[in-house]
Amino acid sequence: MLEIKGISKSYGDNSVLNNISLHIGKGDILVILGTNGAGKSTLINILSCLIEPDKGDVFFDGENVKSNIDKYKNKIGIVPQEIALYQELSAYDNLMFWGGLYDISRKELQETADYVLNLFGLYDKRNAKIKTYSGGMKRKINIACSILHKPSLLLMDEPTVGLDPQSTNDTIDHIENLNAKGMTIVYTTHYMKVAERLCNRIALIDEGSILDVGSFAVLRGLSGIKDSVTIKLKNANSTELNKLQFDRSLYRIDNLNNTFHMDCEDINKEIADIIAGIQACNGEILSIDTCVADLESIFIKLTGKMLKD
Amino acid sequence: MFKLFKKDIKLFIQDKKSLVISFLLPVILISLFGFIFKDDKGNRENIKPIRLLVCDEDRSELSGKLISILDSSENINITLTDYDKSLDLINRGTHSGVLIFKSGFEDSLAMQLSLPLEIKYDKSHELEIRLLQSIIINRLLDTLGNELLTKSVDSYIKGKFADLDENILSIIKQNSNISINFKKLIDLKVTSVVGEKKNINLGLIQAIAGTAILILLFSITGHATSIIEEKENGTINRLLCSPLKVWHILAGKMLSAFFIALSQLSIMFLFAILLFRFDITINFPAFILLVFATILAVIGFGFFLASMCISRQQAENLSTIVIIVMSTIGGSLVPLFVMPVIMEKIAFFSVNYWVMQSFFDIYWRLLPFIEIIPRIIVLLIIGLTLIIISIFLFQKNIKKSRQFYN
Repeated sequence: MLEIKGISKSYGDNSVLNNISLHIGKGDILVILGTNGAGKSTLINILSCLIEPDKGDVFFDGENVKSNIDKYKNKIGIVPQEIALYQELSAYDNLMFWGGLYDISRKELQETADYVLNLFGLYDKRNAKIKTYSGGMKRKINIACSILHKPSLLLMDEPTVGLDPQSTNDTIDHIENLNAKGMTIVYTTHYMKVAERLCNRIALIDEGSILDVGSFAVLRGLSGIKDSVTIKLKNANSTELNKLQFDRSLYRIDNLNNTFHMDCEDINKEIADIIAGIQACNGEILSIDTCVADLESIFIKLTGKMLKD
Repeated sequence: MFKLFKKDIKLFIQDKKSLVISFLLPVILISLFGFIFKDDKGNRENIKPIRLLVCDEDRSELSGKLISILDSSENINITLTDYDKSLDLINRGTHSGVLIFKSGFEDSLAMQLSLPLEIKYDKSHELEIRLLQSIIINRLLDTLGNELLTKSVDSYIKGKFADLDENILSIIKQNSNISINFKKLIDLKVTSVVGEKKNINLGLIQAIAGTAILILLFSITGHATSIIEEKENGTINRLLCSPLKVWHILAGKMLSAFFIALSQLSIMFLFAILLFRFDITINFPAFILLVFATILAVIGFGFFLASMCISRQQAENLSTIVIIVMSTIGGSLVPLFVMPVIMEKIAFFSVNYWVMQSFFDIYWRLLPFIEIIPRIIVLLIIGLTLIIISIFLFQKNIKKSRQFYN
């Protein structure tokens, strides 16, 4: 559906994007994850036709966007990072205005506006001015205004910035619903938890370059990070741990601290076997501490940087 | 309490733009008003020269002599012309009035009859003409005093003693004690030729036109600067992500500005009609054209100002200063005829000037449609030029930061 080929962008001597290439298939959710200033918004702005890249091209359904920009703009929806709404207008008026910029009949627009207001649970407050809405409600209308013309590609630039966890979860639910209905979504964020929830495919971006792209499992494989378990034993010396059936390269025993440590692919699947194995060797377990490889640790491993919430 | 005081002063000082407007605006206004009024009261030596037309129908030696004396006065700038042309120039507002030496002026003096002198003037220059009247009478008294006395004595003796020797006559003239009622002779007739045809109040025209243009400038500039606010809150970018083009956005803004301005003017004129019985139908086509040209010029000005600024705060501060200064020099706040000549020339660069003068053309000078057109064309040119420049600047500003595809 969307093909980004060799996009580069600089402002003076400051290179913001370096030779970015990505493919987003129909119905995908691509999460672009990166620190602040990594180049996420610049990439979204290029995909939104707000910025022209210095090099490279964007293809939509096989056509170069530059050659048919009006057609492209009619097929995409943009959810900007800011609450880009008219605060003095009601939610309904905002929806009618933003939807009215596209080629939709008034009747169809009214029906769609009612539908999205119901979808986001804001129908009863449709006539209230946006300025009276809470942050979460505003974010919902910010998204709603972008989907009225039923775009096949939705570009979302950090749409949950500043939201509390509950509102963030609600927003993500809506995004997943939209995706389930066939909408292709490109979503930028620096929130790890959001990225983990939406992790159909993740592109890690750092200093204007895409480091890796893939599913969580692929990225984890690329980073080499594994789950781990640390088990505190009553007496590691007296235990017959040399009889353990596990691959010796995966575990180590600290006799001094009486601990057993092991790396594994999926701790949830393997923990029962590990405990059973230790107990089979007469190991007396005092406590179990597990560490699951998450996106944050993968990101840190791959970029050497922390993501800040 | 002191901490609050300290905090507020700190905030006030840190807001540099507000600081500038708080101190710069009063300084500018004091300078402007001071410059306008400083020479006009109580110091006749420095009064700006009055541009006076003179029509010499007598064409006598005496009338010629008097015209040269008046011309040598530093308070009066004389332009000789004929009667019809002088009335036309007064009607067009280029001159305040005409002094007419009617036929038989010199003969009337000889016969001690009331001198056939008249000033015809534009009533909007009442103050100026009253001043002029006083200057002319003084000059005539100074100049004609001896002339009148000599001619009166000469005429009286020659009538009584036709054969009297010239030497004796000269001695009698020098020692005579004949009194002449100069004031009766120099009865300068003053007639207004503009503003008398209809029962129109000059102050009302000044108030309506001055207020209308001032309010329009503030409201439309405020509307234009909302585009900067939209840039700041992201709605402009969102609009640009839609199938709209930059010029669509600007055209939409200008159209709404036009509607707002038209509504404001309609309400203002309706109010003037109902409350002051202001007759807008005197030259309705010209009025409609002027309203259209005024709105266009104000839209051009407002959008031009907005396109020069990078933040709404900056636009608000700049527009307040520019509008008040422009309205002052343009005659919205202070009538143009009380200003020094240099200010009248500077006024040409103000939108207010062209609107105010066009209003006076229609409702005071009662000029025909065709003669009102040139000033309205100037307004249209100002409006269109500023609109084109502002569209160019807006596109440049947006492209500078965003570099659009289209």
